[in-house]
Amino acid sequence: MFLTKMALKNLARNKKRTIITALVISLGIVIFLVSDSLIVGMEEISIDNNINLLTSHLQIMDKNYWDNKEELPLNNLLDDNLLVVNQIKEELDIEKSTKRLYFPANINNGREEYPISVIGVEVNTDSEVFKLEQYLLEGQSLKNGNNAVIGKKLANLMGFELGEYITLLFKTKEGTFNTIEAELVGTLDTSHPEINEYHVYIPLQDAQNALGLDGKVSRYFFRLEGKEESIPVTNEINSILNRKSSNIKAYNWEKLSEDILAMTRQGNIENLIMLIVIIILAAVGVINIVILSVLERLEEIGMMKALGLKMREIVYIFVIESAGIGLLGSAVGIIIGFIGVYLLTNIGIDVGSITGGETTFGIPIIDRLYGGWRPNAFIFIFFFGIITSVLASILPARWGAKKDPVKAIYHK
Amino acid sequence: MSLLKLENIKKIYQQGKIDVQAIRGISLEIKKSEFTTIFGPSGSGKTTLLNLIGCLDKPTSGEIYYDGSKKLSTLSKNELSDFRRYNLGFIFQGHNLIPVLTAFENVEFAIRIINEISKKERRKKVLDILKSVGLEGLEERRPNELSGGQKQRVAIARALVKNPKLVLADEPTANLDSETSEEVLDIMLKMNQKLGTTFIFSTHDPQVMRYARRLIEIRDGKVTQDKQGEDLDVPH
Ligand SMILES: Nc1ncnc2c1ncn2[C@@H]1O[C@H](COP(=O)(O)OP(=O)(O)O)[C@@H](O)[C@H]1O
Ligand SMILES: [Mg+2]
Repeated sequence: MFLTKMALKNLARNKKRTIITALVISLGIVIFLVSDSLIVGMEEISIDNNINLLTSHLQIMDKNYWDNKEELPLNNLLDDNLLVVNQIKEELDIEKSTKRLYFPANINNGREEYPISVIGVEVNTDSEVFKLEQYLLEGQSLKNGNNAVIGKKLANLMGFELGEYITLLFKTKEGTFNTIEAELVGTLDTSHPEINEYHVYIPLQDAQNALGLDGKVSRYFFRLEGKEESIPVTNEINSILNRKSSNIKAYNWEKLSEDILAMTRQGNIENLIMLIVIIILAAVGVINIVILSVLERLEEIGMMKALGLKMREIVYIFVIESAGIGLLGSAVGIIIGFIGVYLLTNIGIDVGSITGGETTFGIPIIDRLYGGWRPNAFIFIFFFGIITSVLASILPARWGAKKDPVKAIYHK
Repeated sequence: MSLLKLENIKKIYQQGKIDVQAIRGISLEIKKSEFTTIFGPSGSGKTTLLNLIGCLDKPTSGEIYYDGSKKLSTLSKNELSDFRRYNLGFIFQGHNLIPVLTAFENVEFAIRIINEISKKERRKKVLDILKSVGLEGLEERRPNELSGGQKQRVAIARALVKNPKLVLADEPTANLDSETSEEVLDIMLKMNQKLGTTFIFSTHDPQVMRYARRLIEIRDGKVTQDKQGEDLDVPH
């Protein structure tokens, strides 16, 4: 306790140096917190986009369909007027739901073919669950009758203009080839690569007819009040489904967003790089300050050794000083970081003007990027700053404490 | 009663390829409560000898015994630290004090790290010793607010506050003017008489010799004279 107090008093000996070193640590911490906030913000946007455009809050489908869902199979489908769906909606008070039939096809413009996914959507309910309409670039949204909506990029790729007819070539469940001719009534620009390039939306009825799958759909989709409800609601739905001992199961958006989770992992790598930057900043600052202090206080170290302080007690003094600097730097960093993150979450940054409206890091962003809060990041980085300072000080402090007392006292 | 015994101590410093023989075979015995002056010109080996006695350095050969039996050569670094902490007091020429601590705290340091007595007793001890070296009222001053003589008195108080077996003072008056030197030596002598503390201090200043009760003169790392009592030709 006495040595601790003395060490903290030492911090005031060279105030300028202490403050500069602490501020270097603060800077690293601010960079970390701001970048973490942006990553959280991006995650949030891309998760919301994914929910609005691809997954919805939760889906129900046949367990066997789930296993092969990437191939958009035509077996293990569901009836398009499942009683249990009505029961779920009533029991759990869910209003918004829709259903879709997916199948693989090739799109043809008379010269070339391109593999895509066709999505048969129920025209009057789809917009309750999905927000495709908001991203309509040209034309209008899907209506009943022989029409289709596709992504902007796919339209450009194939050279389709609005009003032209697109041709879809595919295999029915029986294995015979069939085609659909549909008028292109709208193009979407969602900046979601998958929708932009690979999705063709047609009315559910047309899809069912052409595939010979009347009354069948691949999955049901539900929109809830908020995404945080999806886990409890999914569990409740599953317990209803289990009661019926059916082969149908509900899956929430998290389970359906593996690619988004992969992106989160990438975000974590960016954070890791930030952490390494902080380690280097803090370590260089702390090592530097400890070495300077040792050189300045050689006589004092020698005298303390003469008084009977052991090597580890001298190391302790320098380590505590460094911990003090780490604490100071972390605290200031947290405060400035808090202000920075506050501004980021409330005002955001104008990414549209920076990137020219193009996709940013594969994440669909409309125009402004807002940061997000992750309180754990603040707690983590606070201790991280202190611990890094402490660890960085140990080696130079040992170097100082090892100095021969005689030489230290008479070093002149 | 013998407190300290040196047996044929030699110390050789390696300076590059040259061996410097700083101490060339010194044997002597110091009794409890003695007030010993080590006198010799600069470079004669006084500092080296005091550092060996104070276990800050190890002799190249020879043995140092405390209390008749304790061999210093057998102690580990940590044991030597503890030995210094509990038994020895040091007074150096300058840069003696910790600049961020007050006079009170500097003195307290020596018993703080021993941690044997309560806060209240500790406080009383520190105040008493500061008073007896004449620093009453200056307890809260930092070293940079004290004169050279006052700083040296704080150092004396710090060396004495733990009632050490032995106080080693390497040219404690070297940086002081003659008047202040006398003050400091008076206090050391007074404490020796009052507390019975054993003192060994070194000097190259003949002026200071008259404070000697036992005078050991060294030259080129050897004892050339060892006189006390009646044999001392300096007047008291
Ligand atoms: N660390 C050292 N390395 C090499 N030589 C030293 C060292 N310390 C002292 N010496 C030499 O040892 C001799 C005695 O020095 P010292 O004990 O400092 O004498 P004094 O204190 O009487 O002036 C001198 O010749 C000095 O140069
Ligand atoms: Mg000397």
